[in-house]
This record gives sequence, C-alpha cells and structure tokens, in this order.
Amino acid sequence: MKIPLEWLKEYVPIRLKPEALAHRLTMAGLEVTGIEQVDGGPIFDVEITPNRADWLSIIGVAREVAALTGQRLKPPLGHKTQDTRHEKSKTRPTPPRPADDKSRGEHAPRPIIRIEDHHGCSRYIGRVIEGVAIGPSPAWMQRRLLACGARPINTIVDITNYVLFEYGQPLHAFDLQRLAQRTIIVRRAQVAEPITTLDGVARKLAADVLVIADARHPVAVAGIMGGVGSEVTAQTTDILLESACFDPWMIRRTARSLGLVSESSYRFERGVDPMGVEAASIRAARLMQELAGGTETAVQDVGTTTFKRTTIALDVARVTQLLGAPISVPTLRTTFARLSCHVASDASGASLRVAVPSFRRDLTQDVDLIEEVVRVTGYEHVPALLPTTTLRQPQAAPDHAHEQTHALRERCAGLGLTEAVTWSLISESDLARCRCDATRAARLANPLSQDHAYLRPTLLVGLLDVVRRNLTQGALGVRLFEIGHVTQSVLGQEDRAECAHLGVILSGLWARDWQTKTPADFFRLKGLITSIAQHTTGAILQMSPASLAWAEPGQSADIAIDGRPVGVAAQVARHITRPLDLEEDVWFAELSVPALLALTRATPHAHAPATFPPVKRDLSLIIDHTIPFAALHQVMRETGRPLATIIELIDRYAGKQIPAGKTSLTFSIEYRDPARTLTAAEVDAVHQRIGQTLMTRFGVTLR
Amino acid sequence: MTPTAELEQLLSEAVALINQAASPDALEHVRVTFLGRKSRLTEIMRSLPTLSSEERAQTGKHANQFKAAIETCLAQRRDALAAAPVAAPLDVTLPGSAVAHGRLHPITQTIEAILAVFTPMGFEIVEGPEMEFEYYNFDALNIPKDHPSRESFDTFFVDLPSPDPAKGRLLLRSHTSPVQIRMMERCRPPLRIVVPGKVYRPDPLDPSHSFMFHQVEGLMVDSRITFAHLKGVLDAFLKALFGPATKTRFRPHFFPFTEPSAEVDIACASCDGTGCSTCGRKGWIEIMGCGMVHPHVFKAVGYDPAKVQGFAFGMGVERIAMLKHGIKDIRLFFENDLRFLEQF
Repeated sequence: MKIPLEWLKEYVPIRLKPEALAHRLTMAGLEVTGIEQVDGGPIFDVEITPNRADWLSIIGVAREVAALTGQRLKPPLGHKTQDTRHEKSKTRPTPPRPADDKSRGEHAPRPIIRIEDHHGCSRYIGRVIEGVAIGPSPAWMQRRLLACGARPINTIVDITNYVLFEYGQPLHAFDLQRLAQRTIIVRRAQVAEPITTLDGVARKLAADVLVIADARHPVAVAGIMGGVGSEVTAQTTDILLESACFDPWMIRRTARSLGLVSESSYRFERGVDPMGVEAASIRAARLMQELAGGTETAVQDVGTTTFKRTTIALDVARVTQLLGAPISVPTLRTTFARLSCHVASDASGASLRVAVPSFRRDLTQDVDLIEEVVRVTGYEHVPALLPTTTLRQPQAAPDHAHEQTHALRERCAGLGLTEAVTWSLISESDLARCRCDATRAARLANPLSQDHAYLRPTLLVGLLDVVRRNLTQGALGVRLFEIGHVTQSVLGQEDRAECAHLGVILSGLWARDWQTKTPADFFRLKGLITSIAQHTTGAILQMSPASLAWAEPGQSADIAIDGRPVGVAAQVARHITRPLDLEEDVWFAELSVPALLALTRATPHAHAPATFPPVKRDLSLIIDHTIPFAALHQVMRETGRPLATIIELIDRYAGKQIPAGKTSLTFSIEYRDPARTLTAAEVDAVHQRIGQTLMTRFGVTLR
Repeated sequence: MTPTAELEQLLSEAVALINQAASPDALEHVRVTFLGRKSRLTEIMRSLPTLSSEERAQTGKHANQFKAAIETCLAQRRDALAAAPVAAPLDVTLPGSAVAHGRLHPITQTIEAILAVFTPMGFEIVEGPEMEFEYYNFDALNIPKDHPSRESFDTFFVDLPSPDPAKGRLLLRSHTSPVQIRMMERCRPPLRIVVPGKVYRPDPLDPSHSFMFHQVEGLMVDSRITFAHLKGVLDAFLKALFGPATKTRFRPHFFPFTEPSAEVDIACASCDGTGCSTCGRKGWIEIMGCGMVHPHVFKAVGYDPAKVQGFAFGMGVERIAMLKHGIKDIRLFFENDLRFLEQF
C-alpha cells in the first residue's frame, strides 16, 4: 500500500526524517519496503500483514505513528466524532419508518433500507445527498488518489475512494433516482440472478452471494463491486451514499469465486472497523457537500450500531514469563494506552484488564497483548539468551531415519555418484514416455502448468532428463543419484502412497583418463547398488530377470535382499532414450529407501582373521550359457563348504575356441581352515568334488 | 717404461673407463680388460721371476696396489650403478588416474550445515510427508479456512479422495510446519526438533521463485521457553552458519501459528548494514521467520498452553544456499547441470 507522507502528516505531527520513520515503522512490524520520491514528497510503500486490517488506511498508519512516537492523532472530524462514538451504545429499529416519509411534505420520500441477511451485513448507513454537481474533483484530491494508485473519475466517485484510503472504510455511491422505489435491500442473491458489474462483465450469481438490491434486482455485489445501471453518471443529481459493514468471510468467498478483488473487497475481507462505518459516512457526506455542492437530506442507519470493547485479562507475570525479559506495569499501561486501549487493574495489581478498540479485532487474547507490548517497546530490548532445558531420551525420531538416509547419500557420493535434485511434479507426457500408468499417478487439482501436473511415481523421469541435459552439454559420462519421495495413488493407504526412493542412473563413460577408458554398463550399476545395499544392510543383494515396461528387453532385473523385494535395475529401453536424442545407452536402478533401512544390519559380531595359510586353486569350465551364474555359484559354495572360503569368478569368455552357446568360466577358489594348515590331498579332494558336482548337475566340461 | 710407471698409466686409464661404464656388463668388461687373464697386469705378474730381487719386490708391491685400487673403484661404481633407476624417470606431473568422485547437491549440503548447528543443541531431526492433509498444513496451525491469513500460503491440492475426510483434503504441504503438529501429537513435551524437507507453492518459475523448494523448520517446547531464548538460539545459529561476526535483528511480523512473531534479518555482509545492491539498499537480508508457538496450536495438539511454552522457526534452504554461494538464479538448483553441481 502507498502512503504519501504529506497526507499522513495531516493527521499526526512527524518530526522524524522519512528514513528514520520508515525504520521505526519497520521495526514495529509495519514494513516499509521502499520510499518513492515524487513531486508531492516521499511516498512510503508499506507491506501490511493480513492481521492488521486497521493499517489499510492513512489514518490507521497515522494512529500507529502516533502510538510509536507519543504524538496525538488529529482525525479529520475531530476527536469527538472519533472517540465518543465508540462508547455510545444505541440500538435503532431496523425497519423503515413510513411515518417519517409523510412528515417530510414536499420532499421525496426517505429511502428505504432493509437488511435481510444480518449475518452478511451487520450495519448499513445510507445518506442521501441531493443536488450534487458532477465534475472533476479538485487537483489536491486527484493528486492523492493517483499517489495511492487510484484513477480519478468524478467528484463523487473520487470522494468515496478518497475516504476509503483515508479511513479504510469502503463506500459506494448510488444514483438515488436509478434505485427502484428508492429502496436498498441487503440480501442473498437468488440462484443465477444476473448482474452486470462495473467492469462490464455480465454475471450470474450463486445463491450464497451477498448483494445490494433495489426493489427489483441487484445493483451491487456487496462489498466487492457496484453494478451497471445504478452508478453515478454525469447526469446524476441525487446520491445514496453507502457505508456498511459486511461479513469478511462472505466477501472473501465471493471475491474468490468471482475472481474479483477490489480495494473494497480487500478491506472487507480483512475486517473493517465497525465503528468507522459512521465516521467515514459523515466525512464523505461533508466532502460531497463542500466539493460537489450537495445537501444532505436524509440518513438511515440500520443494523447493529452498538459496539462493546473486547476486554482481555492479562496476567502481568505472564508477560515476563513469555518474553524472558522484565516489563514493568507502568510500561504495560502506557503502551496499551498509546494503542487506544482502556486499561484497568484488578485489586491485587497482578492482572490488567485491557479493553481493546473496535479497530483492533486482531487482539483477542493475552499473547496478542504481549506481542503488542514487545512490538511497540522494540524486539531489540529483549535479550538473546540460551535456554537451560530438560534432557530426555530422544523420542521424536528414535529410528534416526534422516541420519540413515543421509548415510546412504554419502555412500552414493563416496562411490562416485553425484547427487541430483529433480522436480517432484511431472507431466502426463513424461509419464507416457516412461511407460507409467497415468491413471495410477496422483494428479494435482490445480496445477500451475501441464508440465508439472502429476506427482512423480518414479525418479526415472527427472534423472533421465538430467542425463539428457548433461550429455547434450558435452559431458562424456553421467553418473548420478537422487533420494526423493515418489507418490503412487494407492487409495486409503497414506503410508504407502508416498515413499522415499533411491535412484541411480549411469550413461556414457564411467571414467576416462589417459591410461584407461571405462564405459558404464549394467554390471557397473549392479556393483554400485550392491555396495550401497551391503553398506546399509550387511547383506548381498540378489537379482533375478524381470521384464519392466521401461527397460530394454532382456536387460532388466528385480532386486531382493534376503528374499524381500527392494527395487529394480535395468537398461532404459532404447525406444525411450533415442527420441530424447540420447546416443549413449542409459542404465537406471531404483530402490525403496524404507525397504533398505528396514533391513539395516545388526551390530556385527567380530571374528579374528584366520592365521593358517590358505591354498588357492583355479577351476576352469565350459558351461551352457543358459545356466545362470547364481545357480552355479550356489552349488559351488554348498559343495565346497566349509573349506572353500572364497569362490571368485575371475574370467568369463565366449567366442573363438568355445563352442557356440557355451561360455568359459574361470574361478579362483581359496581353501582355508581357521584351526590348522591344510594338506594338498585334503584340498584336492574338495576341489575335485566341486568339479564333479558341477559336471553332474550342470553338464559342465572341466578344462 | 718401467712396469711401475706403466701400472700408474694403466690405473688412470682404468679409473676413467670404470666411471664411464653405464651398466654392470660394461663394468665387467673393464674388469676383464685390466684384471683378467689376458690383461697387462697378468703379463707383468708373470714376468716377475725374470726381474732382479729388488725390482721384483717393488714391482710386485705396485702390482698389488694397482689391483686393489681398481677393485675398490669397481666396487664403488657397482654400488653407484645399483642405486641408479632402471627405467627412464617418471613424468610425475602427468594426471593421476581417474577416480570416480561424487558430490552431494548444494541443497543437501546446506540442509546438513543447518542441521549440524542444531543437533549438538539436542534437536532431533524428523521428517514428514510431502502430501499432507489440509488439517495439518492449515487448521491445526491456526490458519482457518477462508481466512486472509491463508493468502500467504497458496497451495497445490492433490486430486485424490482424502483417506481421512475429517482431516480435510490432500495437498502438497506449503511449509514444513505440519510436521510440528504431527510430532506434538505423538510426543510429550519437552520436545526439540528440526525438520528438513521439500515444500510446494504455486509460484511460476523465475530467478527467485520455484514451485518446489526446501525448508528447515524448528520447534522447541518446554515449560519455560521464552522469547529471549528464541533470540538466543537463532542468534547462535546464524553466527554458526554465517560467521561469528554476523549481526542479527528481529522484526515484528505476523504468522498465524506464532505470537509474538518475528522475521529475522542478518546484516548484509557486503555492506555491513549500510545498504548496497546485494541487499537491495536495505542493509539487511531477511533470512527466516519465527515466533512463540500460538496457544491455539498447543490446544490443537492437546498441550496445555498454561503449562508449556515454546518457539518455532522456519527458513528457506535455497535462499540461504544462494546467499552463501552467491547464486543468482534458483533454477540452477533443479537443472542439475554437472558444471554447476561440481562446484560444491
């Protein structure tokens, strides 16, 4: 909001320089984000938090300046109209008074004002100003309006806007002669009731919209915008000036549903001062008489005209207890008084009774008052202290999930993978590209764009894009990981719907230097995730052939640890990578982080390494290539137990000198007994038994 | 020439050849030449019987000295050759072999740097779901429906039926604060937690806005935690993160879930608070929000506001990372260009 300093000074004496005033206001929570220098003097740009509706006016800011600097506020109507009216409690009947109309003789009948929806409108003041001349408003008023960002229109409209900025009370001027039967009814709209608002849009209203209607149809959407047909024109002579108090929640809902936000709705949404309704009405009527030559001929004040101050009990000890800094009772009393509160003590003096003014509806309980005290006296006067506190057994995160997940991250980085953080929100075409079922993905109800409309069900989408980006930028190899949440729309299962995944992606060269050149491949990927999984779980993972929708046929695997599924690994299908202009093949693995962490290994029990020397023997064999390595290895371990402690594949070959469909494998086997030195004969016996068993079980040929 | 004079001449020739010998083989060749069976020395020794007894004694003595001198020389050269490198010297300035070297994302590094300040103070690290109920994101945090205070929290809603309609619709959390509620519902005070995580707001991408970003939230609740403690802990935190000379200031602000509330600024390191282009001529850089937990929040989780007090705070991770590393565009974090990531 814009605050022209010269206008502000009309209501409060200011001795501070603009920069010093801006600092003082900022440090009291009324943030001045900029000072603009224009012809008429400096204009403050202030940012007003949603709790401070009372600051949405020049007088409201002046009131704050007065409170902070100890000056006296000079409201345009004087203090009597402002303050005494506050405490005046009177109730007037709401129906119109036809008797009055007759008594007015030759005058036109008084307007009829009726509130049908008391929830939506607690008070409505209608003032009739007759015989106005419509023309341009005076230059000083136009200048101020422009400074506040409003376009001058004509005397009457400008006066309503001027008083809106001055008091924060939105007003509306109707052309009285264009109101059917000189009647104002505040009511809910009928279903699909039509109105054309002043922005030229023909609208059909919903039944929960509060409208101002004349005897026939709506003439304004209450608190938001007037309608075409009753607005002030060059021909207008008689005005009905509306000053009312509408329900914030209703205005807000309507403004949102109509997509209409105005200076008026902005203030009603936040709540106007119920006692400011009358002052603003009087002020605007006076200006209309002064500047447009009109005469006020009638006033109708309908609805609740009483206001009772909210009284809050404040335990004086609690102030110090919450702030951790002593605040004296005189300081409390002075501060509240400056903030237009009425303060009384109870007999003991341990508690204050603070009655807050009508414009501070944000003050409802003791902490609100405590904030006011520390806000006005200055946050800088509270010392910065380190707490002494109670120690207790950690209870919030006994599983240390964050720390464990972070250990996974560090493991990945230690293995040469660089961490990426990619968008959790992806597009429908991303899903289709990676062969994900869009109907199983969770969609946003209000996406910002179709590019980011779905919650990712896999890390593949984002990581694939990062690979593409980096290879396009000239990287020779990309090796990345990401740990992030993925979401599946598994209904009713909140825990399973969202899950942390670890994604690993490789493409191009794994490493290159002047001596060697190592391309990435499936077994590089498998080695990495084996290491990652072993680090976390202490167990060796197993892979079994899988057929994944996004994988190159015959190049994908399911991953399990101790028989429990933890993820998948595969070469990404070329029909996915090629259209992305990826010439290099891409390998990707995705693991469930909770599944890995659930298998976290128990504290290992240590054994001293064996000291008796090992015997090493090689075993070369030719085997049908359809026999999985894991099956062979399993049998070798079972047969070689317990002396064959290490059975390692050291060479695998297919090609020349090997029959078609066969593979040559060479193993290095280490035999060792923890308690003694083995004899050659013992080792030979086991070694031969392994060979024999493989021949019988798998039909291998020993070389 | 007398044998003695001849031996002296041979000795100087031999020493020169020994010192020139570049290999054990060449050295052996020199030995054979001067000490072998066909050497001049052997001839001289063989001729000894033909000499007079006086000459014989002198020549014999000189021949032995000659032999000893050459052997000493050979031995020295042999040692010298053994110590010399076999192959050509290495060019040690060649690059080392490639070691795959991974890095953590700057956002992760920043989060860990933040957490590393709080964990020694006894704050536990907890996380929560990114897809959250309206109740935890708003209502329990004293942000009622249709209230202007929701305006600061535009939110993505998820198009799925709520698994628990009593807790409202599903949304992507717009801040990490819902985890405060979840933890207070589960744990009894005293409680000290820090909560890192992703949050979402429908802000179009530009150099300073992103619809996805990260926050770290904190909460400390005990019987007598005061606003002064809030200032003390955050002042210590900011000094740990930005350096011991960091100046902080607390400025009143509004958050629905705290009262009193504050925004925390640090003095701009580029101009020390006098105003420059880095801080937009303000001298101060807004770094986080905080406040004393609102009694309504305590009531929502079943804590008695008369018995417990506490503070909460929250900060944007990207903002801090940008400030620390001089990053001008938030989008760099999510493009994951290796040339960017490898700087951290």
